[in-house]
Amino acid sequence: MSLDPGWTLPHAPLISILHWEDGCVLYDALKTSTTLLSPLAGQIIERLRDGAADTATLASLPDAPDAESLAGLLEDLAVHGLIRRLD
Amino acid sequence: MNRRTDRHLANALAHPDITAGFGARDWEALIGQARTSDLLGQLAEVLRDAGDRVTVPEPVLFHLDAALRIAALHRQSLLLELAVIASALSALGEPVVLLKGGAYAVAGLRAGRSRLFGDIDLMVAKASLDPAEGALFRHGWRPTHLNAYDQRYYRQWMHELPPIEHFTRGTVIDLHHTIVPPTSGHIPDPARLIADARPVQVPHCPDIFRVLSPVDMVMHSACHLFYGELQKGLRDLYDLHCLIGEFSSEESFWERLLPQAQAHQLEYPVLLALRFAQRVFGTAVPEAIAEECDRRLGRRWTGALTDHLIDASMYALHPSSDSTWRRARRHILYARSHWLRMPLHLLIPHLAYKAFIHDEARVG
Amino acid sequence: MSGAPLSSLSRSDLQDRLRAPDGLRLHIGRFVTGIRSRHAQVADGLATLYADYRLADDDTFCDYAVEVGRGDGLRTFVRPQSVFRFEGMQPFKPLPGDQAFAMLEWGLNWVFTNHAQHYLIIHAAVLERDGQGLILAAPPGSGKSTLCAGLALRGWRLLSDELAMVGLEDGLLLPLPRPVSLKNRSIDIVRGLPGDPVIGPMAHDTAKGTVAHLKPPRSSVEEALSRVQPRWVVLPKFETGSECAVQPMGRARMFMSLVSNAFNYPRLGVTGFQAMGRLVEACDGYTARYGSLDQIVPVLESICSRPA
Repeated sequence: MSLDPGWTLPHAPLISILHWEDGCVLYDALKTSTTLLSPLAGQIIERLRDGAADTATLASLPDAPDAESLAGLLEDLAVHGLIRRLD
Repeated sequence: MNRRTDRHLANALAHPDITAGFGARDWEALIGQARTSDLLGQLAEVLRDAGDRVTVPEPVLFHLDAALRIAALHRQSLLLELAVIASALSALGEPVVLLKGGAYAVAGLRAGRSRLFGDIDLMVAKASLDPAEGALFRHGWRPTHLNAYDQRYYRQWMHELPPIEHFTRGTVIDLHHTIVPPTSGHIPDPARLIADARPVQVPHCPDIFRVLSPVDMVMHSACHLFYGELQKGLRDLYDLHCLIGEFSSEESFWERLLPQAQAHQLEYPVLLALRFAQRVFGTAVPEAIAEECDRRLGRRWTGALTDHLIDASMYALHPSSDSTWRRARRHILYARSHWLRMPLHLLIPHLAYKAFIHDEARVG
Repeated sequence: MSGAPLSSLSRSDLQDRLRAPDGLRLHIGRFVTGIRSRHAQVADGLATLYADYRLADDDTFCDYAVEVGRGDGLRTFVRPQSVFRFEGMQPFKPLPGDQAFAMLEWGLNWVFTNHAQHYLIIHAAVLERDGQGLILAAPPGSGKSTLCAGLALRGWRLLSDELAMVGLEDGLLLPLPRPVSLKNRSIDIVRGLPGDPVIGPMAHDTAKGTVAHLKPPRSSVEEALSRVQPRWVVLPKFETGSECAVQPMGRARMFMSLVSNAFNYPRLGVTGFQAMGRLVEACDGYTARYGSLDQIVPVLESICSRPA
């Protein structure tokens, strides 16, 4: 089993997010970018704004999918620079 | 041009109470001049701070309020840009000196409030220039679309590299290694300027930024005004007025100003700055210093002519305060400011080239 | 708003004012605009399309002074151009003399947009019904202007045919009713609508083809000081021969669509993000594909009559 050091937001104070049924919108003031996210991705970002969390914690969010899908989503978000792996 | 309205902006900035007797035409001239000179935010602040002494008619408030809000947006944006720049340059391990508007803003100076920001001016040691530019290129900045001639002009003759622009953010950085062009014949001591610069805290940024010391800041502002391009003369002179006003109370500011300017071979622009700030904004200058200015400026044979030409640039570029005659004087002055920066034999080919390529894009 | 309407001026008085140093001064929404011009077409356009706008008194502050001149030197006489000036600046290249009125309208759009950068500005037509605002957001070429004209002629209050100006703090829409800009085929379509459409001077061979303007309803001009709470956002898409398909749109999607139509959103930073959020929260959103006004207008009138 691989270790799960957890995830964090690159610059949490500069992130704003709004949630709706059909999705979320995220504003990154540093990158000056506006991004459309799924409701689940929005929940993850919201949770990480409060502080770093490991995958297990994120798996316990209300709408979290199975472990594989969650891992895929987290990887996706990391690739797009929205979240960062802690090491 | 209406002689009656042409000094409204300068006068209102220095003495907002004069607006008490204003009619509609006066307010129109004032707002128009302020807008053209990029001073609407500062004007709004001055009028707001005058409280009960000033009554601004309701329709005019719209424009003043707009300017304050836009200035607030500019400031927000500047601070974020500095965060991005800091993360690009922190690996250099060198201090980065903020110049002009950016410096005034982060140092909490009056000159930095309610203003618009354009290019971001930075200064590093000459030896760090290439590494700094390299670091910025790696973080998304690109040379601006200057042709080979202009690129060469900048690198060879100027005190700054050609402006570089971020390819997604659009921010433009002017990277300097000293504060006046080497070809001007004046050689300030950049190492000393950097050593005397004061560290400054910027939110979300590693600690790399500094701002010039008060005397050096006034000196640089004076240089920028008189050796730079004079289109924004009034705005730059107002910055000087604010800086001088704020630093007046700093210990030994007045004792050190002229001697330090002399040590950096930059006495002439500082003398001119003091004279014009007094003349246009009524800046309070100690009598002894003012007399010293008159004495030393009087000795230069170009004095009266220069005065007359520079005076033309101290009016807003607005129909209520501009005139054909003044525009002509400003053109002569543009040539002159280049003269101060470049040897004559280099100046003429450069100007002729510029006139040629810009003729098609000339506006009225 | 005090002052007599522009229609009260004789043609020669109108021309005199247009040539006077202070220009012809008109109330347009909350602003006073001073207009100077020697072009007969500008006088024609103003007389036809701005007839209901109130003249401003001499002692009223003028927000923006513009001029549509004839060009410099010889061009004043030989094939005069249309040259737009604002505060001593000339922001655009000159156009042919027979496009002078269109130049005035484009110039005014530029002036108003440039000086309202402290509003969230969305490229959209804005109309009001029962005290609530409809934002028709779409890029150029989507039929938005024709639809806007159609609704205005049916009694909707016109706030703007091009610019939704949303207050960053209060979220209200700022009315700036002006002649509705129409292109090519749309001119004929609107001319044929009921409601007595009045069309102004035509400009041919412009960059956009043939351009003309529809006179805004008088009530739109007279109510232009009252700001409006936005309630509906519709993204219209006209396609010849299309069926009518109007569907509700989720708020996140509405947000992103509006961002792509917002001129100055990038410059507003987090303030713009928050203002857009508030706007989207307050509105119901729809996408609307349609092939004719007859299809879409009844649907919009049905949607936009539900109580708040």
